[in-house]
Amino acid sequence: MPDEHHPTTGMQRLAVYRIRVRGQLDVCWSDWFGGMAITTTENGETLITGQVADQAELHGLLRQVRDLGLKLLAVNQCDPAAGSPQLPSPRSATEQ
Amino acid sequence: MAAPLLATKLYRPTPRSSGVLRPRLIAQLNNGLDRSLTLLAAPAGSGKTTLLSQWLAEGTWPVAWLTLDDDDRDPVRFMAYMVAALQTVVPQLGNQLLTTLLAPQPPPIAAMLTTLINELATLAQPVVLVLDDYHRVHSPPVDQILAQLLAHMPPRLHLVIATRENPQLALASMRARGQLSELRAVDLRFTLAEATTLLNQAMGLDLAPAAIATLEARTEGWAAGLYLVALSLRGRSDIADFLHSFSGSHRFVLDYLLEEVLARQPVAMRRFLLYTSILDRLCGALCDAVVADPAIAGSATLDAIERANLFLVPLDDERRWYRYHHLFGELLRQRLGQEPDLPGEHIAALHARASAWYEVHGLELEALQHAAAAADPVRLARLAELSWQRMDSTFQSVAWRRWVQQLPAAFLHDRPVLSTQYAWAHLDAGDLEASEVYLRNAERWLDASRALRSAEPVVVVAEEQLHTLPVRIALARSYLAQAQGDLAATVHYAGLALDPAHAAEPLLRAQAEVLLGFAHWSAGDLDAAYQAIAGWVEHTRQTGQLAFALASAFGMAEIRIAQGQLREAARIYRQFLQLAPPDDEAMRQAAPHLHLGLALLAHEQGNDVAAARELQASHECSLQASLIDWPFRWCLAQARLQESAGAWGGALDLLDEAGRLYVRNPVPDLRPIAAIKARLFLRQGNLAPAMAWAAAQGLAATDELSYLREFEHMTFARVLLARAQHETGEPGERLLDAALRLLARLLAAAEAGGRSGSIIEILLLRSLAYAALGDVQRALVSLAQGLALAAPEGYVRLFIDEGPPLMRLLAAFHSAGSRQPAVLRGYCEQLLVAARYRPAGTAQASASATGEQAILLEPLSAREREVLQLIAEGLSNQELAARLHISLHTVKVHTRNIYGKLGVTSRTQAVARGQALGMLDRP
Repeated sequence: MPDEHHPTTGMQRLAVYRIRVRGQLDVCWSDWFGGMAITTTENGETLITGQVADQAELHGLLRQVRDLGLKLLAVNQCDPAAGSPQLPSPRSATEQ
Repeated sequence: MAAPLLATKLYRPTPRSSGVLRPRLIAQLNNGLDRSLTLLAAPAGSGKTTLLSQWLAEGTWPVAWLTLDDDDRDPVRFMAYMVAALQTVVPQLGNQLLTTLLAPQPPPIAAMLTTLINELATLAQPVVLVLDDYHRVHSPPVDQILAQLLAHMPPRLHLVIATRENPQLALASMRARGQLSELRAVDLRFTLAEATTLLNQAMGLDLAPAAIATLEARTEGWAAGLYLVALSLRGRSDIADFLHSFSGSHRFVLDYLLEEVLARQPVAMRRFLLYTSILDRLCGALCDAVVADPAIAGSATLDAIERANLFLVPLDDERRWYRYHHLFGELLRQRLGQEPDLPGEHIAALHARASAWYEVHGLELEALQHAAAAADPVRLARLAELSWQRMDSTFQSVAWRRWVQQLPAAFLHDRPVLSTQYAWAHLDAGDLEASEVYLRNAERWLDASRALRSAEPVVVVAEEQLHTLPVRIALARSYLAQAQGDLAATVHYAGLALDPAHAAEPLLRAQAEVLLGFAHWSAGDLDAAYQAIAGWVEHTRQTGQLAFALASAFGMAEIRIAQGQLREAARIYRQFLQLAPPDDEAMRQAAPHLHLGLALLAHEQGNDVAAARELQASHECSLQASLIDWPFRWCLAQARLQESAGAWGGALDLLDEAGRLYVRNPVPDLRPIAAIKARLFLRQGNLAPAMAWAAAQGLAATDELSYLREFEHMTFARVLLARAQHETGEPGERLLDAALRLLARLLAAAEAGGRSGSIIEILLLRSLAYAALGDVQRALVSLAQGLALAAPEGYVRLFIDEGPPLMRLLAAFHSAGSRQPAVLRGYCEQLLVAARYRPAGTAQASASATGEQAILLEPLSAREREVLQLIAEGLSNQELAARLHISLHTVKVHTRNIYGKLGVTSRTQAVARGQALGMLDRP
């Protein structure tokens, strides 16, 4: 398990997660998934990618997937350094 | 007043006339009825609810239906709805229980569940209990309730759970024991034949087999997908085009299909669907209010939607309340956020209109919920302030607090009444720190004399509560200070509340008086405390508020116990038990406490029969109702009994449980749980954790003493005595010397405060310390003083729970013969009999006797003696279990404990040792 806190600054390091589901979702679903980036693949799958503050937030996103009856294919943690620096992070309801 | 139950949650959906019957699944459900549990675990939109409604409509058994939602994670609320659902088929079931569950302070769940299981065991006919949408609960306490129910499954009950995810129950072991019938996604998937029936017969289409195969494959037999396909195709001529583009698309099935369906609706209908998707429940009038378009009539439109099969689920037979099918509703809400001509503020306006409608119709929680969703803090703040008193007097202050938590801090800032209410809500929940913040805020409206001033800008809705604000704040302050142990502040603020200038109403004044009483109690001024609490009890009794009087009676009794007046304490408990008939609401809440108090007194006096009887009475009463701290007190009392029985492990577990149940409150915490645990560690001979406790509390023999810490200091003296046992020579003597000096100071303080209960215990400890020093003379003098104080009140446990060292001293005292007063010798004899003490051979048992042959370090409990007797009679473990109506496992636990206490490793050795100790009846 990578540690969730930056060892020197004590600042929380946001983890980037990528959720892969069956079927292509329109980008307008981004809001539904708290502002995560929605991208589709040619083989008919959708990648929901973004920064997640903690495990509780990740589980909340997985519940959204469940409640839409989407078929969950994979959940991966991505290396933020390797990913795009502009990845959005989920927004809480009050900020929207 | 009780919170209302929503009948719509108990409504069993009727099967749609256009539904497809699925005989293979219905056969599977019927077969599952022999088992305890049927689990339908499948994704959203798989047709779980539809299948259940069809199945149950065919059957002849009574069905109790409960649709769960997020709020049911509260186990009390869950239980209340479960009982209410069962009452729809067995009206007399759990009547008493439901009243209890809806009371402001329900008793512990475990007790109520036992009652329910017992009542269900007497069912005359089979009943099916359906829990629909179980995934929304997400609550370990609720899972626990079902686990308990399934573990003791009443024979006539069958449980059905429909859920999107596996419940946290022991499914694997139920599966292995054949108690589980399961229908999962793969079972619910529509077969080609079922898809054909749905599309061509039920939905009236005329599709070729190849087309149906394509649709079945594309939707993967998903019920929601097939339904939307049918709606999209209805009245359509270009079916081939639709099939082509749908099957060629990779888009998410529902996304694609909903767009198709919505695009085919008239504009007004489309708007209605989107706007009303913000509602959890719909009725015509509510929809009218939310849509706010005179051209669209709510009731008529709901009718039309139902007729068009647009995923509308009726919630009652009158077709008054509906909800959207969950998945459809979610999709609509998502679309609502994407509407180009409907920006965010319009959605907020929809919520505001919903909130207003609910407010007018007196549904306060829903009004608060939509006010929060409308992001309208002014509205939310106003509703909260107006609803507090009613919510607080029902059991909804937790929900109230949850919505107020959504207010931006600034909105509490200039609302003194709301801020004070919020502080009280935090106090109720034991969150003292949060309470402090909001009290401080409200106090900005008080001037130096803590009267109301008008300088600050102020927003007040509940005007009538403004003029009593200074008194309410002072009372909250006093309560807070007392819960934090700040006695001076408790007294100060109670005094402010009592200031004649405020002319506070009598109830508020009496509240201040009793808070003062608690402060006296904490300070050790027992007479003043007794008078204050007795005064409050008298006031509330005379004004007919019996609930308050009865709830405070324990305070009077406990003070008398501290003063060493056991008989007077018992008289108080009995007197209050007679104050009202058993079925009086206030009596029903207080009776468990009064009986528990009597049980503990009987236990102390060595009257095991009476203790068991009162304990049983307390438990039985608690099934009806109890006060908020009953679970905590019940665990403490059980731990005390286990301790006396020598079951240290069980006692420690119960103390941990009590610690978890403790809610901080103004009653002084005179016996902290950590200190009770330290005593148990010492009894176990486990010195290290006891020493760690003393270190963590920063205790020293030279500490300044106070009544609040008396119990801890007496425990610390015990730690010193125990440590001395492990040291020889000078280090040991130094420890004993420190203990004796601490005990001398404790004794002086207890004598000054008139606390005879403490005095006796201190004298016993002093006697043990002298004995350890080898000063038998002084040991016996202290013991004689303790006996003289204890004899009139009949203390037993205080002595015999000290174990062998004190028993040897008592034996020595007894054998000193005629030099002792006859009364004390008789009392002493009684104690030795109660402890089943058998001296080792001679009458000269002295402090130096090893006691190894003489008596057990840990006495056997009554049950263990019974088990030992049966072992001696030659019963096998299985026979024992059958004879005593206990499990084999419990028998093994008993034998293990017996071996441990007797220091043996086999049945033969145990019997031999038992005979040597004279514990066994001759066969």
